[in-house]
Amino acid sequence: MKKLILFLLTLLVGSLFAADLTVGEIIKKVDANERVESSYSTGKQIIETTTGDTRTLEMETYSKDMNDKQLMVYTSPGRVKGDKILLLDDGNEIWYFTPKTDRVRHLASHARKRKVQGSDFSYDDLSAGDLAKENDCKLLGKDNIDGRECYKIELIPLPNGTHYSKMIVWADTERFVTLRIDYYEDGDLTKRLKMTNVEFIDDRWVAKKMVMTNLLDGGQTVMQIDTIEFGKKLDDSLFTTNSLKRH
Amino acid sequence: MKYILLLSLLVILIPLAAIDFDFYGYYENQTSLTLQNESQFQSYNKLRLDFDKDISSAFTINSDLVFQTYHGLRTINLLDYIPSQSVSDYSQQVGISIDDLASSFSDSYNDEYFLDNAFLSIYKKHFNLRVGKQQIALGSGYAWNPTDIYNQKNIFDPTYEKRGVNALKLEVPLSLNGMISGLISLGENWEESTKSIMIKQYLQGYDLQLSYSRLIKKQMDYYTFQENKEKTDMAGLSYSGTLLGLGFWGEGAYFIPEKTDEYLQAVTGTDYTFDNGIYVMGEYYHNGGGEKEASDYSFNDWMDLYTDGTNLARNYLYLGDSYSLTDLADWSNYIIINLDDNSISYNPWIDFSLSDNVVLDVYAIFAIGDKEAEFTQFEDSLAARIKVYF
Repeated sequence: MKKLILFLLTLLVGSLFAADLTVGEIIKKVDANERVESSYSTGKQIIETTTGDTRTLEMETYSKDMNDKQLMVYTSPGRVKGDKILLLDDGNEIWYFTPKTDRVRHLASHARKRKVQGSDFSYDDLSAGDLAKENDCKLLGKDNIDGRECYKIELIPLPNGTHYSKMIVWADTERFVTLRIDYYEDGDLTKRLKMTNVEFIDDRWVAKKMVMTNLLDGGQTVMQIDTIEFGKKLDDSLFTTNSLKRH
Repeated sequence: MKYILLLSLLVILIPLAAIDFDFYGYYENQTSLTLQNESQFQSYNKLRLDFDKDISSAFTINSDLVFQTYHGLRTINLLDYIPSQSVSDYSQQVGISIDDLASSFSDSYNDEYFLDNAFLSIYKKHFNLRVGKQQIALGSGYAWNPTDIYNQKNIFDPTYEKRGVNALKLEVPLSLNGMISGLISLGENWEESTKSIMIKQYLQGYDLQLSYSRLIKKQMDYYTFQENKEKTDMAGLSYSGTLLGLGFWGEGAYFIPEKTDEYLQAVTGTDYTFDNGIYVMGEYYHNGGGEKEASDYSFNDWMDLYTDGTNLARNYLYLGDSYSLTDLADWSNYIIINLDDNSISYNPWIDFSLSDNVVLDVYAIFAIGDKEAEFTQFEDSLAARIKVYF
């Protein structure tokens, strides 16, 4: 009984403190949960078209230095096998390699708004940039997403941020994991990202399923994490254009 | 030399003997129909089988075999693709009738199978070495790559995979995103071999590459039927990055032949993606070795176009756009303009994703211009290409 009272007290005190958090502190906590020193994951990208067709791509993802460096390697199907996307500087610099032509292409900044492999994710969406540094943040209040209390935060991208005109982020008030993002372009809501299957892995909350819905055409893409490992030792040389041609 | 032969044999035989190779590939069929004069079909079936093996973290072997069969119109007379006046002038100058010339200038598509790529890669901390037939991709240009002296590029299909080049490539990292590399493609002897040295570096948002090559430029003189060889040096520069929100790239190759005049080939291009997803691009190409007017195109120029892919004129513009019609279909338009003879080639292109591993491309080539001009020699045509990966 004592333990239960203590637990309830902790929750109460925690929520009282949480209520006092500034938007900067919330963002910091979200970043602390979601931006990791290093990680390696395997997963799938399932593109569901408006006509009901699906395309499934499998990939391995490596990240380092609080997600500042990311490398995605497509492993299946054969059409994209071996294609690699290297994102550096929080996704501000992007290179694409395809073994079919053995060519590494540096994508210009405008390419960040292009679809990745025909999915509903853009290159901008893939790069988990520093929210506080790349956006003007404002706490709009609290809201409820799938039964979880969330902070509702408005992000207006700074010139070094994404191509979106505005984003609204819902972050879990206890777990500090993002559960939903609404993306606006020129003031119109165009895409919605929902995170589910949240699990506690290696001292952090991880949403293992992300569904990006294109609200303009109704298509959606599921990004699913099958396995994930944090703190993996990854050499800096992995995140270089020099290493992209390595098979 | 013995070691190279032994290594080459190993590279070829090991994939066939081992069973734990990573095995994949694709089947491709392309069928095209010409729309002018007599409608004629051309078709091919291509099967590519890839065998890869990671021997260890430092050694990998990659190889692929290509089997290709041709159908429909298999023999063409190149003279049919050269303005009749040029053919007539040429016939008079060499003193051979046009009918007799036809047999010398026919080109056949014969069924073939070959080892397209077969190479060993060695990855060490301080260097990477790749030996054998391998793809080589140089330069940042889209439709033209003047610094890439190892490959021919088809401007009507510039992103299609290139054939392997037998070469040795050594890469030594200078920094995390910088590298010096040396490349040699063996000829009959050292003099005949093509050699390049390249330095590349990522600097303040730009990928930069400097290169210097020495090659033997071979050119057939169809008036004397002799092949002219000339030692040529090439100094190259390539860059790509972003400027004022636009993608921006360029490539220049300054050729210094031993006996004939020096000339410059250069490309500069830009691209942009609008918020609605429409992608637009443009590329300008200056071919310093080309002619200023259609009347200056010689018979040798025409033959170089068909044998080496060397464009005839001095100045070209390549314009393109692309847009997603549906989640699974993209529509692109490409326009190539010869700014000197004012001929234009328009290539609409639609690609459909039919399943995870099946892609269908449907495209056309239409030409506008004077009958003596470059692009009007290519007959208007429709083509469909299906590619099934496995």
